[in-house]
Amino acid sequence: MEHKILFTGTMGAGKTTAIAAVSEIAPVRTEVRNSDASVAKATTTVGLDYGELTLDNGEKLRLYGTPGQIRFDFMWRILARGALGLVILVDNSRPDPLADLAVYLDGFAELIEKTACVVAVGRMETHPDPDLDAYARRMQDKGVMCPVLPANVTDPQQVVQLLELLLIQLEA
Amino acid sequence: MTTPAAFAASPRIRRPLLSYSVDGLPARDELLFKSLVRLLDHRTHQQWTWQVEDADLRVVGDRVPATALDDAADRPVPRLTLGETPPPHGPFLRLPLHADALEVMLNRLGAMVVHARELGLPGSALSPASRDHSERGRGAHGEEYRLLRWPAAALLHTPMRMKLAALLASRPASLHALQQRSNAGAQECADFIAALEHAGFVARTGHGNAGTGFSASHAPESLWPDSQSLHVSEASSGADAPRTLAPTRAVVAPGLLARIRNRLGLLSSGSKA
Repeated sequence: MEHKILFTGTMGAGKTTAIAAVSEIAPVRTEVRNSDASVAKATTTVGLDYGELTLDNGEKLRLYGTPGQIRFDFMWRILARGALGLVILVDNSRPDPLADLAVYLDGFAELIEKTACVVAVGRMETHPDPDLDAYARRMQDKGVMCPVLPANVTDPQQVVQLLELLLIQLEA
Repeated sequence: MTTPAAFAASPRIRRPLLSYSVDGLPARDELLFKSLVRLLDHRTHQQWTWQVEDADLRVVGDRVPATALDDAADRPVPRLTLGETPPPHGPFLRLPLHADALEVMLNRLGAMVVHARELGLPGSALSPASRDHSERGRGAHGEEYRLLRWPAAALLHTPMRMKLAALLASRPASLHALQQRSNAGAQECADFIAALEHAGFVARTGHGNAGTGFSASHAPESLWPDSQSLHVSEASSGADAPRTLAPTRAVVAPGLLARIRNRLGLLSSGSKA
């Protein structure tokens, strides 16, 4: 049985780094040929990050980093099927990180509705605006309520904390 | 020839679904009890699941004062005492638990509850009369709190508060339920809720499940449940209702979350997990 948790966010937000922080294998960067003719050229490739953890019963917990661009949202839907939850990584140094967040809240709305979500905001130490309250308000506008916190995903403990917050919501 | 698929598709005997709550047991004993109940699940005549309160059966430690039990009980519910000292009356199992004895006891008490349910007696948590009564009780004693939005960072200055907020983000909870699920102190939970109320981040839902839409009969199977199916009432499914109050939540395989936590090297969020 497949169990998976998704990491999403813009390019450079830290998806690969976050997966590497907890995966027991080196993250695999998979180039997947885009088979959706309605979206882009057939030669377009989609970047997926993949890591995994082996649970004590031998089952695998698969960690996927989704392609970041919205034009690959068809891949988001495929990856979201059966996922346990979602970690959204936002880079606060980007021009409009709240708009970035909105893209993923919309793109993964069904998954968030059915499972759980955590929003991790990176680079807040150098780019404090928008602050976490602005994120919370944006989520409220979108009808989403989930933890939002600053995170440095180069620190494995912080990635574990994100996953723990995900699990807490699933457990509640 | 009977194929595996045909076997799987054959109708299964449906066992009554009953619930139990646990009060006053040391965390380790509570965890062991819940684990044993799950291990015995294929042998018991009823299917037992844990819930915070208003369960069909109350499992209590032998050191819980009788007055506390009387105060907490808002309807007659069978009580199973665990410990070293038998109570003056009522079912009792000595610790450490023995699986065979527990199986016999659960089957005996389960049969009693099912019989009461069939007769419509108030001892059954699922009988209409007792449900009305318990919901009135919860409204009076166990108001639930619903998070309106993720709290300001200034209110989340400790890991425990972050955990409490995450719990509330998932679904409304009473102070008692919040305390049990987080393993936080009562005062800490109360202080946090007070701070949230003061800042306008939380709203009271006056009638427990009736206000939140979450069914007590679908309450989690352990303090850190791994599977659940949540349902929402029309009252909370308005257009502006948070997505966390979704009509359904995906079911997680039993035990999966505990295995993930174990693999991540996380101690149980609550010491009881």
